[in-house]
Amino acid sequence: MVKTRKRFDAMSKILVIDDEDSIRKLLSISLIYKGYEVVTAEDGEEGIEAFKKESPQIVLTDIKMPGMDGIEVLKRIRRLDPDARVIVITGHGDMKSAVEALQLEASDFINKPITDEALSVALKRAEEILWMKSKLRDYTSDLEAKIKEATDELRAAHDFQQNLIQNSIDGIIAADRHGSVIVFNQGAENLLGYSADEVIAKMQMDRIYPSGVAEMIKEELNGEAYGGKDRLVNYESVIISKNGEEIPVRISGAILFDNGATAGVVCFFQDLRQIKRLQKELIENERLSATGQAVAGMAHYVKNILNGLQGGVYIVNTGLRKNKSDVLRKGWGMVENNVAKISDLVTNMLIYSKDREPELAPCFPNDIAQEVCDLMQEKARQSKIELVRDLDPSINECFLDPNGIHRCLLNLVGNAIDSCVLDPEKDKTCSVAIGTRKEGDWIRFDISDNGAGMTKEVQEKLFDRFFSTKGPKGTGLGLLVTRKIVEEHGGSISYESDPGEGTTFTMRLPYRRSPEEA
Amino acid sequence: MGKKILVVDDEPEQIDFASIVLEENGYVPISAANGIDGMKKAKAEKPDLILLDILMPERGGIGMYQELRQSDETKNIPVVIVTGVARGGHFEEFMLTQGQDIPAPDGYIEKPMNPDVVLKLIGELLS
Repeated sequence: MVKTRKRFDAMSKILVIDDEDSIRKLLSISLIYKGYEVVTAEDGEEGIEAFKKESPQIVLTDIKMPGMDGIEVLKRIRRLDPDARVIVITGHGDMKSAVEALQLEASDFINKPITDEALSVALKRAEEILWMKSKLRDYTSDLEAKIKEATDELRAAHDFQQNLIQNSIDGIIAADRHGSVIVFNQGAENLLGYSADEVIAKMQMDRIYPSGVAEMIKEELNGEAYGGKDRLVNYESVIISKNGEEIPVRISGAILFDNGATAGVVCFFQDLRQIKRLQKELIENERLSATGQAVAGMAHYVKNILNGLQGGVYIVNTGLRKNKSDVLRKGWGMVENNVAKISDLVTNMLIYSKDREPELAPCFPNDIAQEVCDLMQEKARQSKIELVRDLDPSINECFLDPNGIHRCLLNLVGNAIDSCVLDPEKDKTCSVAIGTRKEGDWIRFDISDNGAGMTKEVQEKLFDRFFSTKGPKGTGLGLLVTRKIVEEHGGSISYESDPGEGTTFTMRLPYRRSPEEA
Repeated sequence: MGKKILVVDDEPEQIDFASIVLEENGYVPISAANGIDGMKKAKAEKPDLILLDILMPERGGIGMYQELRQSDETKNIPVVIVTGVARGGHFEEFMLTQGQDIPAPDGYIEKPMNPDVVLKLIGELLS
């Protein structure tokens, strides 16, 4: 706030009161010359009237006047405006009047005959005081404005807070240190079905929680786990509405302190009903879409097998019709081959869809690896891939599910060979290695190839349901089934892969010497 | 002596099937399991027609088709494209001829190969 400040060089208004016409004129000329605006009055009464009308900052008044004298004028002006400066003009040697005037807080006195110098000094002092007073007044009114401003701000902040609390979508409930509800906003009303009037100062905050939950929340508030001590951030729980409905909510809260002492608690409740419903829908949608994809993929794969079967049947018929046993044999081979594929698919599906315990039986892990190599030898040879065996002779008989492990190795070796076939580098000599190692209480199987390797995108989807890189030639079940079997054994499966360099899959299985060993 | 037909497919079973169908109907089938081998046999054996599986790993079918059409030795051999997906041929044609001055294949057949359809098409192309 800016106020016009009077300075002693700025134009001030001066009231000159003197019964002597010549003095009035002389002073007027002199003062106008100094830059003042001058108002004159012939006696006290006229002076007071002029003062009221003109509100001069400075008054020059003669002491000895007929009617109202200068002392009386001084008294009255001081009452009218304590800030106005009154300079009294005293007769030569009239020290008594001068002292009296000063006691009545006249600004100054000038002796007659008036000299220009004395007048200037008196005016200067008066102006200085006026200036200081105005500064003080500005300062004071600034202060007042500032206080008003701060008060307004506080009020605005308070209103804002009230608004914020009241209009927050979250339910906001605060309780005093005795647990009695003191804040219950619109959001809380909507959430819980109570009106604020019903609960404020009438209900304990604990009432909104199912039994035991309030204690848990207090414990969490005091504990460090959710957002640190005295705070609770995004804690999921339930609260109970007025009509008894359990509402899932996310609670954030804080203990309120007043000078170090617990003053109460405030909690924010986010309604999770909508979110929970959406989450459920999302999971359901994902499940449906995965199921749809699975069915589509499976249909494709089954159709492929069916084609093979039909082809086989056609050839068998041709062989029969023409009585050619070599054709018959080829056709029968195709039928058998496709029957094996169907059987394999069904087994995979059953393994994948059921929770089962591995059928542990004593077996030699190296023998299983050998069997798988023998089975895959032909497939590898056709694609000019070398099959390397690197089996640890220190592995003895142990308890595994031999069929399961056989299936896992068959899947992994089959994948390794496919990965070599898919390798665009035609000149590369591809090889697939099966290694076994005993590592303490574990057996490790490593199946590595130097084939195409997997891109990051493929790696990300590796254990996705029904994801396959082989189009209709794959079900996307192989790795899932492998992982499931390994995990049912209490083992783990991991891999390392670089596009262009190849892939290594590692299965770690517990080396059980008896079926009871966990 | 029957007409010589080259079957190029990465699935041994498909080769067996097509070979027997062809053989039993008076053709002489020869086969290759990939595009490189297929190209070699196309040049060496000069087949009368080629049955080419488009879906072989690493652009095998597409690459081989383009090579066949760009080589003077093979560019006049009729090629029937065997496709796994029924898309009416437009997509395959685009893939096979894209961006190059390559004529479209002489015919398409869809997997699963229906022997009657294959034999009819081959008969028409070779008459």
